[in-house]
Amino acid sequence: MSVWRPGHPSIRKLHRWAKGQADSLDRHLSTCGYCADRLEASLTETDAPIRLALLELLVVPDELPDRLYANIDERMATRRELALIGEFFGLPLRTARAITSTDHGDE
Amino acid sequence: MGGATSNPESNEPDVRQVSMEELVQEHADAVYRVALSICKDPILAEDISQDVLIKAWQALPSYRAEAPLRHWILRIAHNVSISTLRRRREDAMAPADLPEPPMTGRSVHMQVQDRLAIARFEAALGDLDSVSRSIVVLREIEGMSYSEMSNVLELPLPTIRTRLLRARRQLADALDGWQP
Repeated sequence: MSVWRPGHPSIRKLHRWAKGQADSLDRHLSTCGYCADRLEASLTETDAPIRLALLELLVVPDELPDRLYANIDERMATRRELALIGEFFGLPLRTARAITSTDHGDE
Repeated sequence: MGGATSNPESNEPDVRQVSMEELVQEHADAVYRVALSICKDPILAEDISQDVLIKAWQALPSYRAEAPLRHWILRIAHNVSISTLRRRREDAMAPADLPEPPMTGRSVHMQVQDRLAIARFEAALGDLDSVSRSIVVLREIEGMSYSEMSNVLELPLPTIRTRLLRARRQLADALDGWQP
């Protein structure tokens, strides 16, 4: 853990801020990397429950990757089919344009 | 949708050649967690995850490897989640409607305590702004550094630092006394 430097709040005061009891430190902590790092290092132990609670809450279903892949594959196949249909129906229009532009070119 | 090939200059696999299946298997969990933390709706989070992975796969040719592929994908996940939520905010499921986690082997009393703590935690997480929720997930679950989060979320480092500290303070308060 880093050593306290004069002119910066004590680790005790930083902990009070972390508990919501020293809001006057808001501004200092938003600009002081040294104090933020000290607080961060001292809070590492208290992070474990937060991480566990997050994992408990943000549960990823076991079959998620397989299901996602199947759905994505289906969506992309549908897009390819639609593109093909668009291509098919666009063909007469492009042919007509090509003929028209050739006519103009001849003039 | 072909497999990964090698980049002859670096001997590293060229991620621009990654197949969709590899992309999904490797990053679906992280994408889903970011999406779920922001939209709080498992069904919507799954839809967002699909959109994110398709967008990422289609944009792979433009990926420049300045940051790890996972960070690049998680930036897309964050942005897509935020924009989807903005469009569908009124439809988002209330936290109380989320499915309950399955009972484990702990005593009934402990399980009730767990659920109460997780419910408080869920409410505290829901009270955070969506950017702070992403910051918490990227830090606590993905283990990213401040500068990595700054890069992924395109926010200044002091903003990341302050939001994370504030978020932790609120979340720790919600879990006060909880023994996992």
